[in-house]
Amino acid sequence: MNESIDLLTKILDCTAMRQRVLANNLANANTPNFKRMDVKFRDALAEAIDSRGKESIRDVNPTVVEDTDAAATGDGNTVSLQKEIGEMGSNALLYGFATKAVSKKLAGLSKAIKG
Amino acid sequence: MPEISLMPSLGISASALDAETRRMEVIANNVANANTTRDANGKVYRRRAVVFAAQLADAIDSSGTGKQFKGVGVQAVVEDGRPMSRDYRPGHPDADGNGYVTMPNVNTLEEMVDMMSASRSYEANLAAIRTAKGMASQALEIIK
Repeated sequence: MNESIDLLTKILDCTAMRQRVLANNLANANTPNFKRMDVKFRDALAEAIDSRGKESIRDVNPTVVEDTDAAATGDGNTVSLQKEIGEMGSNALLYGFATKAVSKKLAGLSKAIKG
Repeated sequence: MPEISLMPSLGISASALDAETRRMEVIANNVANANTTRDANGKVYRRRAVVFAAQLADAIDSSGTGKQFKGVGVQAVVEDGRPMSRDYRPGHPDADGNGYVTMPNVNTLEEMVDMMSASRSYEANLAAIRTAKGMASQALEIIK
């Protein structure tokens, strides 16, 4: 029970941070030589769940990395409006899923308490 | 791990709205002065352009994951160094002995394209604000 709340909270933290980084990319869509950034947490989270036991989920920290695969335009900028908007949409969906799942968990708990 | 708030993301997008508005003002000023042969200093108007710069806080992020993003800002408004155009207009008050007038180096077409780009960027940042707002209200749903 608690582990899944831990995991969902971690997902909420990571997606909230990713929203911030994606918003920053969009804000700098016209800044010369700006390189788009992204947040990595999926692999670390999956590894924590698979191999190191559920307690280690709390120790996973999202990392902000420069996206080196994105193509640069003439002014050295690697931000693409449509990519940021798309990523933002899927990120918001994941966030929405995690909030729904947390409320369901809490609703279940409260049902157990009240009987 | 310290909590991560959605609120900074609103500030980041707002900074971009500010910057794009400033860019739009400069573009409008260029178009308005496309035929100005005497500016405030009595010289031919020179096209101006904004320089955007990413804003980063030097302090390490509260979560210890690197620098804190603060969006974008207008670092400077600079003059365009490209040569002025020379038009043959003998009747113009500022024409030289041969009937040529030095006109501003403003290309209205170029300004229009810049204006569209500024407007699209503005919209995209508004969409980012809407997304962050939606996420925050979903988070509020948890305690309902």
